[in-house]
Amino acid sequence: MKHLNKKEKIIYAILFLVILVPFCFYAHATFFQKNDASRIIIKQDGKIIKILPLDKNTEFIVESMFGKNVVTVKDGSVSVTDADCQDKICVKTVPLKKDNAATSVIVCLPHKLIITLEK
Amino acid sequence: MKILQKLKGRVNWKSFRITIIIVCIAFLLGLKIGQLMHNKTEVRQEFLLGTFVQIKLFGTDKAKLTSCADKITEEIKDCESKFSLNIKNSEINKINAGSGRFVKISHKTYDLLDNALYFATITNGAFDPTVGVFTRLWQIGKDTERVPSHEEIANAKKFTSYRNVKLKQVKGNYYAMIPNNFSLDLGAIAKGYITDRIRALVPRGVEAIFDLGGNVCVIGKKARKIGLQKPWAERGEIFQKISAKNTCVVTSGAYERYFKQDGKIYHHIIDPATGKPSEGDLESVTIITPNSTMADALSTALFVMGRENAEKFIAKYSEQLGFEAILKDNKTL
Repeated sequence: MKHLNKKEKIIYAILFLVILVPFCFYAHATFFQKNDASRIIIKQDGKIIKILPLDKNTEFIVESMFGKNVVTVKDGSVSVTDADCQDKICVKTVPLKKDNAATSVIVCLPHKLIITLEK
Repeated sequence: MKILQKLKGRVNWKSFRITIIIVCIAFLLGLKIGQLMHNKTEVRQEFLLGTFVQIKLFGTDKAKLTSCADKITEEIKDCESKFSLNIKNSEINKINAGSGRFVKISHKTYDLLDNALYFATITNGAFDPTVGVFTRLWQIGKDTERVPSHEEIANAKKFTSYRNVKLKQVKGNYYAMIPNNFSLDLGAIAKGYITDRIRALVPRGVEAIFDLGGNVCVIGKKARKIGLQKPWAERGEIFQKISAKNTCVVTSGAYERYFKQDGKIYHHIIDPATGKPSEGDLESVTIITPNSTMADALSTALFVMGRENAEKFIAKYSEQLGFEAILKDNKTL
């Protein structure tokens, strides 16, 4: 190993860089996560039944043995605009947007429906 | 540069190979360190306990998170199978069908009932696990919800009081008994109790947020913001944000479940003293404490008490039991 001594500085520098690069890659992913939730995931009874883009205005009607919910995507927000469930809590829920995507979810308990925003 | 120069000339293959190996190891090491520091999330959203249950786990070891989430879901399902009124063979239904005889139960159910009786006692019955007769009459939240007659309620009142619930332990076996026609309903405490049980399953180094139908619990070093639902407003519209760290937050409010008949609102929080939806002056009560069972039982009890009695209770017990309360009526902003 004696002959390595001359190049120690260079090797240390390379080692340092080589460790730093992947570390930075992950650190970036961890600490500077962008708020880019842009896919609407609609799940019913545990299964994903539809994935919609958040940036396209559209209307999707969920019809199942449980009942009917109208999911409306408008100007970057998604909400349930109509439902034939008893409590209508899904309709009375604040629409999902990019800024509340991390904490918010629309749920229709009687129809076992969950709407979330994901990356 | 020296290496390059040397490479151009006489290549020292031995040192070159060693350098390459060291570089590769260092790269993998860096990758591993980065990976270990990279936070991963495991989210479970399920319909359990007759409500929406959300489990979020944060940590660096994905396999650990997945196995922890599996254990948590299993525990919730096991508790549900023992405590639920909607499951025919649940232990609570067996006690209800026991008509005055001691029924053998698991330690879990015994522990839940023991907790329920403790909170019933200190709240002087404002929280009462024997409101089953009333919830069966009103059926609030079901298709069959209705306003019972005065006679029905007066009759049901004869069959409620937590004082008549008997628990006993014999040779490591657990038993519970309620008198004939009595009916247990643990709806105001079970979710809190289950939250405490699943908390115990979270290993070191894992942070978590649980939400069992409004029973929220935050575990770990990181403080997380929890929004308190504004009563009668859109779901998700909040009136106050609190910062929670290693604690549980439970809110009880009339707006959560109710029905309207002839212009009158009938909500799901039954006052054990009257057998009717509580007519206190509070719109919601939030309890903050690391003990989720306590948070659940007290949020209901203080809601039933109304502001005046709730404030007396807080003055007497909040330090001793270690909880904070946020009382909201329509006058507070």
